[in-house]
Amino acid sequence: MLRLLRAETLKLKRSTAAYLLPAILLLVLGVVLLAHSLDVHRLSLLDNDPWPRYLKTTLTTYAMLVISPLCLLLVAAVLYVEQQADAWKQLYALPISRGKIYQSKLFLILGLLLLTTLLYCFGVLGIGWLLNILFPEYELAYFQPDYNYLFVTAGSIVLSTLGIVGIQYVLGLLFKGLIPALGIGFFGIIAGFILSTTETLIPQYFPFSFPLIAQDFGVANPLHREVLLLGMNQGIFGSISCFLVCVVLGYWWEGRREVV
Amino acid sequence: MLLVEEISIPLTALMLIPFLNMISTNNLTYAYARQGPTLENLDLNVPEGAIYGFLGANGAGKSTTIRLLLSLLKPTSGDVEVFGLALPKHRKAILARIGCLIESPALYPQLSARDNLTIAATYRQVDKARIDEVLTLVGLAEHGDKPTRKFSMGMKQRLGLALALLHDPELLILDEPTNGLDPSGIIEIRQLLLELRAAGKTIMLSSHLLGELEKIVSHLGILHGGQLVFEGTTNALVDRRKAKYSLEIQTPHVNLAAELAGLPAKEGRDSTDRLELQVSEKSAIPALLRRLVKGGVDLYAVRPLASDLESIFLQLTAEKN
Repeated sequence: MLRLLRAETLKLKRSTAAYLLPAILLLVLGVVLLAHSLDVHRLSLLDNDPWPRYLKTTLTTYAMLVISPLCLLLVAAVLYVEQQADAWKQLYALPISRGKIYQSKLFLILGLLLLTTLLYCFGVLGIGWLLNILFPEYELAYFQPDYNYLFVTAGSIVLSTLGIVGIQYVLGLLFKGLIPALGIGFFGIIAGFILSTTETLIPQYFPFSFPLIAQDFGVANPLHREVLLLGMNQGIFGSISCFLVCVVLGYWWEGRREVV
Repeated sequence: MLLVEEISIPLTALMLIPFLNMISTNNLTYAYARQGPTLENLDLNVPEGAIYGFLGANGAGKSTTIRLLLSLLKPTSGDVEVFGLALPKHRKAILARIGCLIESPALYPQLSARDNLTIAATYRQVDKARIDEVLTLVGLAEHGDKPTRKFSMGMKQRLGLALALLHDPELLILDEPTNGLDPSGIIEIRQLLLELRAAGKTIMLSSHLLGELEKIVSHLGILHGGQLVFEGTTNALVDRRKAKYSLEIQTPHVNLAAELAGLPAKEGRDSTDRLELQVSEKSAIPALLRRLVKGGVDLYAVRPLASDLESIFLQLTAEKN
C-alpha cells in the first residue's frame, strides 16, 4: 500500500491539488489575519484570555465555510489527475487489484484532508503569535492557547466531514467529468447549511449538514447535537456511518466497473 | 523409434518455432449495455514469438477485444486465456507479464517523461535504472525531463511504448502504436518492433493502417463487424488470395471484354478503359486473352494485380458483407 501511495503522491507533483491546497490555506489564513487586524479594538478585552474566543472563531470559520468546499475540491483534484490523463484504463491494466488502487486514492484524500486541517491549526496558532506582535493589546502573550481544544475540535470537524468525502469520492468515480460531482456537492453544502438551522430532523440525516451540527458554533440548532454513541453526537456518528456505507458501495461498484 | 540425429534441429531454430498460443480466446462475445454484440464468438490465437497484426476498420471491435484481453471489460460469454492462464482468475499474474498501449497513451501531462515512468516503475516495482534504458530505446533520452504536455503526438506514442516496455514484458499488446507518428517515426517504431520480436517478445498490434501492418506482421487476424473473418500467417492469406489470379487489362472495348470474359453486365463500366479479370488457374490466362483478341477486343496493356493486404482485406470484408 505504501508503494501505491508513493505513486499517487508523485502524481500530485505540479498538479491542481498541489497548488490548490497551499492557495486555499494561505487565502483563509490571510482572511483570518485581516479580520482580526481590522477588528482588534472590539475583540480585545483587558485581562481576559483572548485565545478561546479566537480559536472558536477560527474553527467555526473552518467548519462552516472552508472544510466542506475543501473536501469537494480535494476529491475532485485527486480524481482529476487520472481523468485528465485518461489513465484509468492504464491503471487497471496493472497487475494490482482494483481495490488497492481504490484504497490508495482514498487514503491520499484523507491524508491531504488531515494535513490541510493540521496546517490550518498551526497557521491559526502562528497568526495568534503574529497578532500579538502586531497588536499587543490583544494580550495573547499573557495566556496559553488551549491546544487540546484546538486539536480535538479540529479532529471532530474532520470526522464530521468524512460523510461528504465518501459521497464525493463515489460520485467522482461514477461520473466521467468533474462537474456533476462538484455540482451535487455544492448544492449539498448550500442545502446542508439551510437545513442545519431548522428544527426539523432532516439535518441529522443529511451528510452535508454534519460538519455544521457536530460542533456548538452557535449557528445550527442545538437539538441536533445530542450524544448518540461512544461520546459521538449525531453529526460525527452520521458522518462516519455515511463514509463507511459510501466506501463499501464504491468499492463494490469499482470492482465491477467496465473500463471503456 | 526416431534417432536423435534424425531430428536434430539447431536450438536457435527451435526457439523461433511458435509452439504455444500466448493469447487464445474461445467463443468470446461481448455486448455493450443496450447494444447488440460488439464481438461475436471470437476464436483468437496469437502464437508465441509472433507479430500478430489485428486488422479491422474503425468500430470493428479491435479496442474492445484488447480491453477484454486486459480484463478491463468482462466478456458476455466465452473464455480468454493468456500464457495458458485463464482470465480473470489469474489476472494479476497475466498482467504482470504484459506491456500494453491502449489507444492514446495515458500520460500525466504536468509531469516529465521520467516522472511518468517513475510512477509506472513504482507500481510495477521495477528498478529505476530501467527508466533511462527505455527512454533511450524509444529515442526520448534527451527529453526525459520535459513535461509531457509539451510533447508532440509522436513523442507521446514513443513514451507510451516506453511505459509498455518498462518491465520487460513477454507480451506486448499495442493498440494503434504508430498513431500520430511521422514517416520516419513509423519506420523507427517498425524497426523497434522487429528488434523486440527478435529478442523473443510476442507482439499483438492493432491497426487500421493496412500497409503498415503488412510490412512487419507474421500473423494476421482480420476483424469485421465483430467477427474474425481471417486468422493465420500473412503467407497463408496471400496464398488464399492467389487461388484466384487477377489481372487488369486496358482496352477501349471494356463492355465487350466483360461479356467475353463472362462477367455480369454492370452500368457505367465503359466510363473507364480498364477492367479487372479473375481466373482460377494460372494456365487459364492465355486462353482468356486469346478469346478476347479473337472476339475483337484490342488490348493495350495486360497487368497482373498484386495480392496486397489491402485488396485481400477489402475482398474478405466484402465477402462477409
